[in-house]
This record gives sequence, C-alpha cells and structure tokens, in this order.
Amino acid sequence: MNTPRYLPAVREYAEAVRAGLEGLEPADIADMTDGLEADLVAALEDSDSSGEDAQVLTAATMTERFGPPEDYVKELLQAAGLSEHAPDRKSKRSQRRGRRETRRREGRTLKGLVRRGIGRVRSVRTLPWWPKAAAFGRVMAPAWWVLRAWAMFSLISEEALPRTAGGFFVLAGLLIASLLLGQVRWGEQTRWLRATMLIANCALVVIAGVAIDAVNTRAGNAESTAQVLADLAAVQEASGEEFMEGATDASMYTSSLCARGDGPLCVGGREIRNVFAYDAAGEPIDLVQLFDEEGEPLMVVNDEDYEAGAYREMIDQIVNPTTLEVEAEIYSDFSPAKDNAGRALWNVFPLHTGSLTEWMDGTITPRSKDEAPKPPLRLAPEVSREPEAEVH
Amino acid sequence: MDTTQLLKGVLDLAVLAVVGHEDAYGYDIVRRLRSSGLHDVGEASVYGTLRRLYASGALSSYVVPSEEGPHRKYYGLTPQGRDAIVRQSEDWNAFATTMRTLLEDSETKS
Repeated sequence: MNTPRYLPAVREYAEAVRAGLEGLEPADIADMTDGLEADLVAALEDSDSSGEDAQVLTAATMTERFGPPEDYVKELLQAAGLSEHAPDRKSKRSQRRGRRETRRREGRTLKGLVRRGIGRVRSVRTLPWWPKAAAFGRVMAPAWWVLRAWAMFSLISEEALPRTAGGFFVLAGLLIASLLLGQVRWGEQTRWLRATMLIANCALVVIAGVAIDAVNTRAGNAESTAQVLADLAAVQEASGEEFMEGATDASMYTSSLCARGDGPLCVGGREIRNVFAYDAAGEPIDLVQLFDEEGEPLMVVNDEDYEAGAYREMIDQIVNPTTLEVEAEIYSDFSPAKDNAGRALWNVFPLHTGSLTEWMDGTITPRSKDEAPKPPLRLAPEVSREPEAEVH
Repeated sequence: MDTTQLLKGVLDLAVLAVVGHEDAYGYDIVRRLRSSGLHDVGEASVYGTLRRLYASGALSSYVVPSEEGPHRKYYGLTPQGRDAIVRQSEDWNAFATTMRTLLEDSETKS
C-alpha cells in the first residue's frame, strides 16, 4: 500500500467538494469534510483490485469512481439534512453573491467573525503536513502540561521556583491538576468547555512566555550583581591599597540617601553601609573608632534614619504553611557598639548586624543583636610605610 | 425493488448500529454497511448521515493521524447515541413485525 500516490487527485476532488459546500457555516463544512481525503483514499484502495494503474489517477478517474463533485455534494447535503440551507448553485454569479452575502451577514456579528475564524483555523487540518504536526503535538503534550503548571505557579507566586514548603505544595497541586486536565477527552466535552479550555491554554502560553522572560531578567540581574561584586573583589584583591577607591566603581549602588545630599557617608554617590578596617599585617580589626578631621565621629548610620528603619533590609519571611499568609518579616538591622556609660556609638566599626522579626500584629521580636558581619576580604595585603626621605 | 428509498428511513439506525459495534472512520462504516448487505449505500449519504448524527449529539468524533496518508476521522457512540439505538430498534422491530404480518396475510390469501 502506498497511499500518498493518490494525494494530488484526491485532494483536488476533496477541495471541489469543499468549494461546493461554500456558503454553509465553516464549522459545518469542517464537520462534513474532515477526514474526507482519508475516506476517498480508503474507497480507492477497495476498488484498486481491478489492477488499474493508480499512478495515473486523475480528476477524470475520481469523477468516474465517485461521480461529479456537485452530485457528491448534493448527496452529502441531503443526508446531512442541510439541503434546504444549501447555497443556490444555479449560477456562478449567484453563488458568489450568496458567499458575499454570508460573509457580510456573518462579518457584522462577532459570532460570525468567530465562526469564520474557527472554520479557517480548522481547515489547517486538511493540509498535508497536519497529521505529522498533530502527532508531534501529542508527543509533546506532557511537556506542555508541566510547563503550564509552572506558568500558573509563577503567575501566583511571582517566583520561578518554590522557596517555601507551602510554595512546593502549591506547585505540586498545580502539576497534578494540569496532568489530570490533560487526561480529559476534550472532543467529548461541550463546546463552551472546549472554548474555555482553548482560551485558558492560549493565555497560559502568553503567561509562560512572560514568566520565562521575567525569570531570565531576574537571573540576569542576579548574575550582573554577582559579576559586579566578583569584579570588585578581583580589583580589591589585585590592588589592596586601593580598597576604598576600588569600591567606588560600583556606581550602580547609587543610593537615594546619597542623591539627597545629606546621607551620612557616601562615596561617589554610593551609600557606605559599613566599614572594615585591617591592620598592617592585613588582618581584619574589630572595634575601630573613626573620627573625621574635625574630631566629629565618622558615622555611616544617621540616628534619624536609623529610627525610621531606613537601614533595615528584609531578609526572610515567616509564612503560615496552611493559609500561606505572611505572618512576619525578618529584617537585618545594625546594632551600635556601646561606651562604658552604655551610650550607643555609631562610629565604632565594623557595625554589627542582627536580625529582628516584625510580626504582622506589630510586635517586634529582637532575635540576635551582635553578629559580627563577615569582612569583605578575609585578608588585606600587608602594608608598611617607608620612612620618607628627608628633603634637604 | 429500489432499496435506496427503503434505506433512507433506516440509514441512521444502520450507521448507529455499525458505530455501536466498534468506533470507525467514514469509509470503514460504508464498507461494513455494504458487507452486511446494504450494497447500494452511497458514500456521501453515509458521511452526511454521520455529520447529522454528530450534530445531534448521538456520535462523538476524533481525528487519528496516519503516517502514510491523510488523517482519518473516527466516530464513536455517545450515551445519547446508545439511547437512540435502543429507541429506534424498538420502532424498527415493531414496524418490521407489522410488515411481516401484512405480507404473510396477503400470501395466505393468494
């Protein structure tokens, strides 16, 4: 059996039948002629036993075997109970007029437009490459079920992957729901359910695209931040003596406090959040007191902004595993050193950081208050000052 | 006697019966009707009937791609189609019985 040899003449005949049905609802035409080529081919195979050379199958032999397409159409319409709605076939002109009339009538209403669109989309199924594409689609369907579950997840959580147990269960639930939906035989459902599913799937394709884009951007941001920090570390390591100047290269950290001009300590528009001192041997020093040239304490934290919480950074959240509501936010916060009288001193470096938990009901739990931050460099270069040559 | 006229009234039931036996594509249904003895059944008539039964909800359909040729559209019975078979079979049996009785009467009289 070598069916494709039939295709050109078969397709021609099927097209002639479809043309004869023009003027009907496109969905009706699709209903009646979907798979027509396969039926014609199967019928030809049955009558092939006579030994005639199927290679030379022409429109004439098709007509001989199945009758003129017009008669075929008439029989089809009669059996389908559509003959009374059939377009006037008396003349080409009136046929064209009828077609125009239908288009005009349907074009006016949204329903008509949608119907014509659906009919046009459905006619894709008669193209020769459709079966292969459809088979490929079926193979790829499980991948789509996973992708759309993920798209829904990223839409709900605004995250690429779950970071909490609750998020994990949500994703697992979505995956199961999507796989179950994939098992439904949509062909047997009502038209409205099918249409809803089609629209939802189309929307999810867009959402999946946006989600992938968003994740890429986030990853890109994280990457470029990591890159800047890595470059910075490399610069600092290569030229330890230019520590502070090297750090100012990261102009992307321009802070609003610095832009305002009254930030506590800014270098090149970047807000300095902590200061790390190293001794001559390159070892980090804890508890260094800094003063400016006028003897004023040199501070990176401004009392007023500290009170307002401007230095707090949210580092985690506590989420109720059942309701998935955020119950508390955990912030990292600076803590000042104290002098012997117990007064807070903000010019003692490095400032220690601690975390505090702010509950949604307004209560605050200080959790820890004196963790020494990890120095940016484990070791700085060893340094010494050459005794300056005396100028004579 | 021209059986095409007789066929018109029962083609729906004949098609439903064939599909009820096993899901089938259009020409396969034609083939089975013909091999059962309905030699004069027209292909386009069967396809048109399938379309009408599908539109009325008695049949469901699905497309099966074929590696070597165009895709085939298969038809299967819906629960509604199954009900229709039961209902129409009763009608047909009553009608056939009536006809048989009529014919037997005329035979005995002649």
